[in-house]
Amino acid sequence: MKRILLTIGGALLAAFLLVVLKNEYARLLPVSTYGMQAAIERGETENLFIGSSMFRQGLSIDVLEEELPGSSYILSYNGNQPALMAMELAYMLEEGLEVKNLYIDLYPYTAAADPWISDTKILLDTDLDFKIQAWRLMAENSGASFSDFFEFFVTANNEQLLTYPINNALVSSQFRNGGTLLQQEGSTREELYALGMLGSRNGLHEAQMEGYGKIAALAEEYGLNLYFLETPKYERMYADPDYMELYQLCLEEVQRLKAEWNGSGSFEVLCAEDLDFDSSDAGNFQDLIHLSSAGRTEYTRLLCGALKSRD
Amino acid sequence: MTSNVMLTLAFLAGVLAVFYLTPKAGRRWILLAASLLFYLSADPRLLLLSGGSALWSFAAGIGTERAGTKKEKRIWLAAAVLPVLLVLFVFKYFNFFMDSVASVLALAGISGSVPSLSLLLPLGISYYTFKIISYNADIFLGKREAEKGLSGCGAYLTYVLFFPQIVSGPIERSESFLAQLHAGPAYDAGLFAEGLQRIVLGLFKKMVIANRLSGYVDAVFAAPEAYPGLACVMAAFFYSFQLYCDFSGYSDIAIGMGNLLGIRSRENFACPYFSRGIKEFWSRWHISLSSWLKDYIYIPLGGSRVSSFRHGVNVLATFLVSGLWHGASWTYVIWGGIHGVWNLISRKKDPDSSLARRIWQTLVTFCGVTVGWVFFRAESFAGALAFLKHAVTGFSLSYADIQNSILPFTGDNTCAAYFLTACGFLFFLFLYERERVYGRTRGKEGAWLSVFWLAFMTLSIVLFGVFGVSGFLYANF
Repeated sequence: MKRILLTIGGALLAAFLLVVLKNEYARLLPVSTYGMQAAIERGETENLFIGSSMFRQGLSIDVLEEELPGSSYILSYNGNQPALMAMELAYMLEEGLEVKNLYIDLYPYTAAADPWISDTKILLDTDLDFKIQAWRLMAENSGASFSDFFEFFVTANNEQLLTYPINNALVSSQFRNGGTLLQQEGSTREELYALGMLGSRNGLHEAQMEGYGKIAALAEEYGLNLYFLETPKYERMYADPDYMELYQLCLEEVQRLKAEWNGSGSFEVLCAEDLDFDSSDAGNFQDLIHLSSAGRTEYTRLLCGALKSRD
Repeated sequence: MTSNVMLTLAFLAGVLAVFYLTPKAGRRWILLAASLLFYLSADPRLLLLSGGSALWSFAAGIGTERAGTKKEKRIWLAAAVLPVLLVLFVFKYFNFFMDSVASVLALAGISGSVPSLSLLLPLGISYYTFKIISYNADIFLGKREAEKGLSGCGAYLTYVLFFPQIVSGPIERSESFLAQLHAGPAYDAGLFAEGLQRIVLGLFKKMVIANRLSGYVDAVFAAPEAYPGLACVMAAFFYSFQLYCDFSGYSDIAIGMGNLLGIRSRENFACPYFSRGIKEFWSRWHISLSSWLKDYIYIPLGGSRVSSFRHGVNVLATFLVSGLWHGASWTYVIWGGIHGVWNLISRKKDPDSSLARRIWQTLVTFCGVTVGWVFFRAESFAGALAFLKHAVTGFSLSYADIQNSILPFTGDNTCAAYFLTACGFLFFLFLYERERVYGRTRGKEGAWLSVFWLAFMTLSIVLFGVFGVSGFLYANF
């Protein structure tokens, strides 16, 4: 009986120690080709793009490297929100990453969401301090429960860590400098019109707006050129009043930040409507919001052209 | 409470505290109170039904014992069993029966709506009904005496509604259970430690393996045509493991909880996927049900001591009842029929076969059982056939198909990690069960090995347990 209790107690203690070690040191494992640690490992990058899957599916690393001066890196996490993007930027800058041009994903739905870590890869890339800050942000704004806490600190990423040598090699082969190397086919108009819309939201979230503000403040502090980019969405999205309302609110917010901008670098807002991109061509899209490989290449070329002309 | 194992364990912790603070003589009343409270938390109205069924059958059991003639005993047995079977029929099989009648009428060109009932299935009805039947049948057969008086009534109610076993069994026999209850459940350090280990083993099977596989299995079975044939093959095998880990995991937890309360229960599983034939499989899978069916259906029908034709009918009838017990659907009946026919045509295995032959027989049995589980899991017979057809015709080992077959684990680029982790834990389970069946590690080494397994499982539950999935598959039956 004593042996059984000691064994169970010892295993629980070992689990606790492993959890602490994981949360602090998992980031030090050999880096992959995407995520924050891979960016920090580089030490510097001329062009840093921080965003959600809009950036992962919307930006071609090949075109960026070909068209823009200096090196480029795309930091994208699924559903990455402005509040989290601000924390990620601060974390990387504090870790010594040098950046010249900063490009931020302007996707209204993430700006309307309750603050939440929607991609656990973020936890794999950061230290315990970052996680505690992120947890506080979530708990204060989203009413996170104990089971969320358990998942956040205890069970998240354990599968990836257990299989790290294989899994990291497999997943890393799909990225270069944060940009996806996977080919995604376009859709047909019928397919895109058969998809459900993404629904309405209750306006933008205050914490996300603060996130945009923190990003601007960091860009000012580190003397960066700051660009807010809206990747193209399919025409149905622009005909959706719910989306357009959020989009306008987001634009107003970044325009307000631009008006208050005191940085040494430039502050630009580049939306899909500013480019000559065909949002009615279904072949450019995988779904209503994500670009296909063809759309990605086309959009990135137009974006680079516009950026160069503004310089 | 019933669908959440963690809440059940928390409830058990409270019961244990009260149980061991109570003198030995009063502990069985604590078990009864805890079982009633547990059932009450599911639905008070259903407690009236299950408690009423138990009380009625308790009284009828005394009537059976006191009856003077065989005929009178038969009447009392029928009086005990038929009402509970009627309740089971109304709650579980009425709609299925009416739908089947409607289908037959439709085939005859007669159309029209049939009545249907919208009733909540009482918790554990299939399990406690079989307990009630076996108790009364044993009295009828003279195998045991009826419980009598207030004390006997309390003990019998505890037997029928025993909270660790009410959700998914095992279907314990009254002899052993009631004898332990009358002796007064006592603290036994060895049994208590055994119970803790069994609960950890059960949680490991359920949380780490079954819950991990459930998302994949659900996704592929919901839309098999959306995935490659390879995914269907994987889902079928994963379902075999999910079902085993889910059900045997619950049995381990239930047996472990009983052990903590000083009650020993019989085993419900004995590494069934190591079976070399279907007959052996049924002596290792859901043992409490298969032995119940043997004792109360197969043998009363004449068993094997009849003509070969009649024997075939007996075997088929037993397996069809087994199928129907699992659920009110033709897919279960067909599943039971498949096992019945397979049982009839299979031969006894030669114990002196070569190792290669034994492995081959084990693999063939496992694959056959897995095909049977497809009918068990599918929504309809046509759905099961379509699933199997797609698994065969859509099968390829191309790189794209392998990728798309792993993707349903998470739907993103973490799927490979989840797939590898699941396979890793299945391998560890295989090693553990192999050691249980064939292991020769004894003495000090054996003790260290059991410490290793216990530590490994505890660690795995904390770090790799999938807690979001509630409920046990066999609780649905």
